[in-house]
Amino acid sequence: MTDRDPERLRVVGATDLEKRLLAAAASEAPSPELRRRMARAVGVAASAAMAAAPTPALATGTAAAGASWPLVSAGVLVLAVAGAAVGWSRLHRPIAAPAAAVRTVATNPPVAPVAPVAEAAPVIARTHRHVAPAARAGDLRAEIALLDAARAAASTGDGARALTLLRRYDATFPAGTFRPESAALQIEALARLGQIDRARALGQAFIAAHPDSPLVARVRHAIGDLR
Amino acid sequence: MFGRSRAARQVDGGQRLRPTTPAPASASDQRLEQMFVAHHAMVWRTLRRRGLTADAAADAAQQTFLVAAERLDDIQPDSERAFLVGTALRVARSMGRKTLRWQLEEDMDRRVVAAQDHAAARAAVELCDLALSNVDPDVAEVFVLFELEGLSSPEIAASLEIPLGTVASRLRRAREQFRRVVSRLETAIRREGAP
Repeated sequence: MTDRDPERLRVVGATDLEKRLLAAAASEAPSPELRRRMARAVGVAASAAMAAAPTPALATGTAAAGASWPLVSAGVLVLAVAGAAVGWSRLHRPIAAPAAAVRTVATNPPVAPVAPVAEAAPVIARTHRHVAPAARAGDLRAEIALLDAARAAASTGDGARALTLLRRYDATFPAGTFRPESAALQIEALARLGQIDRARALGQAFIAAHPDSPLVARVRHAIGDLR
Repeated sequence: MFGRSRAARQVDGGQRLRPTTPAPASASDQRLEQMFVAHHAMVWRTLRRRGLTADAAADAAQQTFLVAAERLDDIQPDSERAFLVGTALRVARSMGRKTLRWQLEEDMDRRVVAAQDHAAARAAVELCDLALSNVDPDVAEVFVLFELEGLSSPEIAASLEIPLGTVASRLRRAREQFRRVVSRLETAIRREGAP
């Protein structure tokens, strides 16, 4: 197709009201809270998302009842409240720099059905994250998003993808609220993929670690331990 | 990963942060991050223009990037926007969210009056969405991608899997409909005395 595209309406020919409406809609941006939540769910460093975000004309989001925070100050607020170690230095570094804040899923190899899965029992002792309460609501929704995606994959029979997502969840939320659910889903996925020995080992560890969990029945069922 | 990298880092007074365990991100991790940084606002806005609330749009945007993460190998570098938009629209459809269908006559006066209580820019976004909701959805989709997100016709054709000629004709029809609706809005605004 050699015809060139017409000029955008905003640029040529729009009435004042049309320009106003189009400009406003074109510059609408997710609030810092929503931006962070999306980044966490995807497994991307939230600080990088904030740094690259263009200053929005207005920000729309759950907290924003008409409020429109200047992006920069909102970013400082979010990071300070989260007690994050990211700090401002991260925001001023180019994204491509050897970065501590970049996703480190690399150490989890791409999932093949035979790849070992992270232990269901609490993993390597991690430095305790100082997550302020203000950050939790966004984290929870991000956690749920990842788990939902994993469940959806599992329900369509894509166990490998479910495991990938569940490992991403474990790596992103080492102290996540839904760690037991993630563990149970991994055990189920492994069992369905035929890795019954591994599933059984993790299943027994899970039952030992969470004897009163409502998930125990599911885990038992997955590993064929009918009681 | 946010959590993991923080765990791996030491904070030391005013010193620059250092990872205790160097863990370079894989190429695909970096690419996903770059795609997210570059396009998440566009994806979110595209979903917003389909009538999703800010929260629902964020949910759908998350799903979109999770899909992209699994399909990175299939995405050509210069087709990232088209892939993301196409995926986002499919995600929105699969979520079964119904676009708000405001009835022009019933809601317009009320919304114009209500809009005066909000910040001007928020009001303008709402009015734009109101106008868009009264344009045929098929052509509105093209309008949003072209006029608001600045995608080219070839990109739109790829995203929506329609021929280039269809993009052009839908854009023409959308512009006609949008402009007709907005001029009615203008009449209502003048009648209600909104600025």
